[in-house]
Amino acid sequence: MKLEQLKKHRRRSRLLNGIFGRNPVFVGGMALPLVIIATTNLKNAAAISLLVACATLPAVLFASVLGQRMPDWAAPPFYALFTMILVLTSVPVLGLISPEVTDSLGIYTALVSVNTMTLSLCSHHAGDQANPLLALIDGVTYSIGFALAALLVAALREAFGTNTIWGVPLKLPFRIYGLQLAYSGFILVALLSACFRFLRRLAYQLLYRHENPFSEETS
Amino acid sequence: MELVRNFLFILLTAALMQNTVFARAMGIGRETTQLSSPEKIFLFGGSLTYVAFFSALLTYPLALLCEHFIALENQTIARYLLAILMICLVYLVSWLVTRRFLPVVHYYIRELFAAATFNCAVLGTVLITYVSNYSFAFTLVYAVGSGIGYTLALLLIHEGNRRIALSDIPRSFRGLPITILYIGILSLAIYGLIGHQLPT
Repeated sequence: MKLEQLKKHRRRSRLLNGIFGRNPVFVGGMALPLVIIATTNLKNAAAISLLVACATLPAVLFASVLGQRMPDWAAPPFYALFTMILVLTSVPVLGLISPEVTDSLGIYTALVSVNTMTLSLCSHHAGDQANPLLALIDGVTYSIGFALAALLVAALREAFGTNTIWGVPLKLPFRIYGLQLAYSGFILVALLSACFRFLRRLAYQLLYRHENPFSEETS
Repeated sequence: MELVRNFLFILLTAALMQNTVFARAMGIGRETTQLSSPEKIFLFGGSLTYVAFFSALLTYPLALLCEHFIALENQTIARYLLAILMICLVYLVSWLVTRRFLPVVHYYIRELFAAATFNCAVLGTVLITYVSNYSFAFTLVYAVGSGIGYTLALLLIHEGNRRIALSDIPRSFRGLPITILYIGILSLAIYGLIGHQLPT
């Protein structure tokens, strides 16, 4: 049984894990409130993704550089407060997407500051073996992974729920009104999560079969 | 009598009709939905209720004070900052006091307290009470009701997970996907009670 290709792939994919292999939403189950409720349309999803990226990158970098000097009990409140300040300073940027998107997001703008993805990345990279470069890469890839999840869910909900994409009308033969409601967010995220797991497992199986074409386990 | 009725109404609204998990998806994630025992769920939910109550208690009067001194266009930012500051304050004071004077309590809460405090459910509850223009007493009742509803939701999810574990689930759905699907179906049931989508 040869596993070299698989091990090489796992080492290489460590840097890009946050996008697909360990997608924070579909695989990690993080920042779910932001994806389930706030992504009723693409503009909201783009806005929330932008806020998450603006909050996560500086916070994770800070944690990797100075996190190990902070006592354990002070770290969670500090990161939450720091992330809230980053979110509030990034809110004016949302005007680039749409002027009414901040009202549309409501209190979910503030909830970006306590999302599990940012806080867990900060605590992970604040250890003794902290590496700022790796922290930055993780921050970028996890933010891209979150954006991918949010935009995918939002695109489906907007296209089939309101027959529009980014406010532009689409001609579709049917409309599912329930897609704009909270429960459909849960169901969509669950189905996409299962799909991600299936595709990830399929990718590993194909890699294994490529390396072991005549193995008994693959027959 | 009418006051008691109003309090009960707010409590039930917060716990059931506007449940933080099923109606607003706040406070859910892999950590919270995979809590392994009812004792841990009660501990987590109790910590969350405690933090939500005291954060709301501190935030309300300070928010009223801020309204007099801060311009209207900056009040939203001030409100958000105030809420997170009070949550951090409650966390720090509780952590330090329990560590110094209540070591047994500190021993039990030390693993879950940070996750229970810095949670969308706590910050969301504090902000919702302000946005809903509740009075001081109703704010506190809403915070308690929200925490109780959250604990009940976690218990329901835990029981559902136990039954799901006995079923033959397709491999791709095992773990997080089937749990979120289950929560989605419960959310659909809550929507049937409310009849409309809650505003963000």
